[in-house]
Amino acid sequence: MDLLDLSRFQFAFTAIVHFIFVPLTLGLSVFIAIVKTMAYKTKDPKYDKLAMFLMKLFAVNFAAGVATGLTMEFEFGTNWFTYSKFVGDIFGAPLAIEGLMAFFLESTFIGIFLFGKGRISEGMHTFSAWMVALGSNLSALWILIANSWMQTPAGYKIVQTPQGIRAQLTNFWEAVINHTTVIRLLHTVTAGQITAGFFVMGVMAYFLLRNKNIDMAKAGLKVALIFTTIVSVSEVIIGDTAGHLVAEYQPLKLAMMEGKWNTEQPASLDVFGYVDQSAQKTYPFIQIPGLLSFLAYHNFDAKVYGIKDLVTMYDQKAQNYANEAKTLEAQYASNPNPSLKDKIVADKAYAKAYNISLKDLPPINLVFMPFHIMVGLGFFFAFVTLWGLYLYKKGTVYTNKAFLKTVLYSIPLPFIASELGWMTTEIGRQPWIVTGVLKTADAVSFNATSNVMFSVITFVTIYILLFYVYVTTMIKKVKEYADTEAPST
Amino acid sequence: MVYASGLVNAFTVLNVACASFPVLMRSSINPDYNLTIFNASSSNLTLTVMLIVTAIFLPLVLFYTRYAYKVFSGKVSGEKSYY
Repeated sequence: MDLLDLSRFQFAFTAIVHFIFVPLTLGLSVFIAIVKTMAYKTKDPKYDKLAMFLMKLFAVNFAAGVATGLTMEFEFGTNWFTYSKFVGDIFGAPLAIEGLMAFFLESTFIGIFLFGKGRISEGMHTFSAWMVALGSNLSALWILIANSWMQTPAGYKIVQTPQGIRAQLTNFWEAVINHTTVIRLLHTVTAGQITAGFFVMGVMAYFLLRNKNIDMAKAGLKVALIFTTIVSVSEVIIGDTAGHLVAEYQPLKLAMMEGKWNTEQPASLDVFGYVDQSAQKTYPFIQIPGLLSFLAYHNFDAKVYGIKDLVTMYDQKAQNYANEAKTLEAQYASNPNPSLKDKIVADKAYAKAYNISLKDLPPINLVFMPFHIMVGLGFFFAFVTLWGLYLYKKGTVYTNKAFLKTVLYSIPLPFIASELGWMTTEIGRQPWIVTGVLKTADAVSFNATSNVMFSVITFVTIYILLFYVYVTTMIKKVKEYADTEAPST
Repeated sequence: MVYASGLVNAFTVLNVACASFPVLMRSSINPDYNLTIFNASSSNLTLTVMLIVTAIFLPLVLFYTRYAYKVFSGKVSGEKSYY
């Protein structure tokens, strides 16, 4: 592997491991705050027990999330130096605000919640739980602002500074909202809540199957079931909206997500299939005519551009920018106007960014397949929760072995769905690191390949170890908790 | 006494900052490659936004950090730990 591939691999690997922990942190913090509020209102000890038990698991998860997240912030500097220099003026701010506004809040109050019980009032204890939830979700907000800006940049201009060209902030709110922050936040946070919901349902199902902690497990399963049903059904609608925005702002990503090489009008939906990138063909297993046009644009006759046409269009765009830069340079020679200079710099940067060919595209199977599996899982989550709700109405949800086993063994699935969603988003953004502004290949640091190889090997070793410790600690804590109480029948 | 040790930290940082101003990272190859507070800074707009955010949130952070200290202050007793 060359320097670029290794650097990509390192970032992808660390990001994937980091995001094992993030969704659960996001969702579980909210769930714990809800349960703690119920404990505070009803004075029912089983809710308090549940909140404290879940917070123990949350703490393990939180620690792993912090440890793995830190390395990523350093990698922007060590592995993606050109990127950092180019976008630091914009990208740096949300990350700094995240630390100040969210991370301190979350980590201070998690300490107060875990160790302060008995020292502070129950009201304050409940408040702490909400502050942890607020902190983790504000973190998500600022990180997603940074990421959304990379996906759909806005509120900036490209300027020449003595240290090289860079993107400079022109409008803070435009950069913050850009075009996709809101939906990206909703999609991610809701995914986290589904993850937490299934996690709690699974753990409670484990207790019920082993006939331990019955009172707490029944209460926990009921609350988690209602919570998860609401969020997993909402996620279907949110996901649909997210899809529209991709169609509108990132047509190349949409074409790769759906494996469309040629422009189609109306476009059919390939429910699942296989992309042969060298032959530039997609082999669908199931195809539904017109459905993609409808899903992307809510119109059965809408045109959906294919990968080949889009790449040609972008290349044409690059040439237009290059030509404009040439014309302006000629003008500048006769009339050295500083505003012209900025325009020339920007045109040249865009000409370089849009100059792409089919060989610059990422492995399209890694966009197409993750996306379709994620959607499938999303429907599966909604289906399982509705099934649970039906059983709850019938009054057999606590004893139905099939349902309890399904939720127990489904614990990893929302984690996987979140990872697949991010693979779609991030690999689908390629060949760019900032859509239409900077190519990933132009953003990498000039490291010695052997150095990156060394850090890759180190990270992979340590992260695998960390993941192993994480899983065994979580399982141990659940089992220990189950064994502290005698069977309650 | 508690505050004195805090002041030592504050003045150490201040001392280093004043001594090296305006250089943040000194280049051993060529002084022209030094990273200074001027050539490494963000644009005015970004710095303004960060100043406002810091002015609002830093006091808040100090406030709840002080609260956390207060909650856990005092002697350790043999009371039951909930974690």
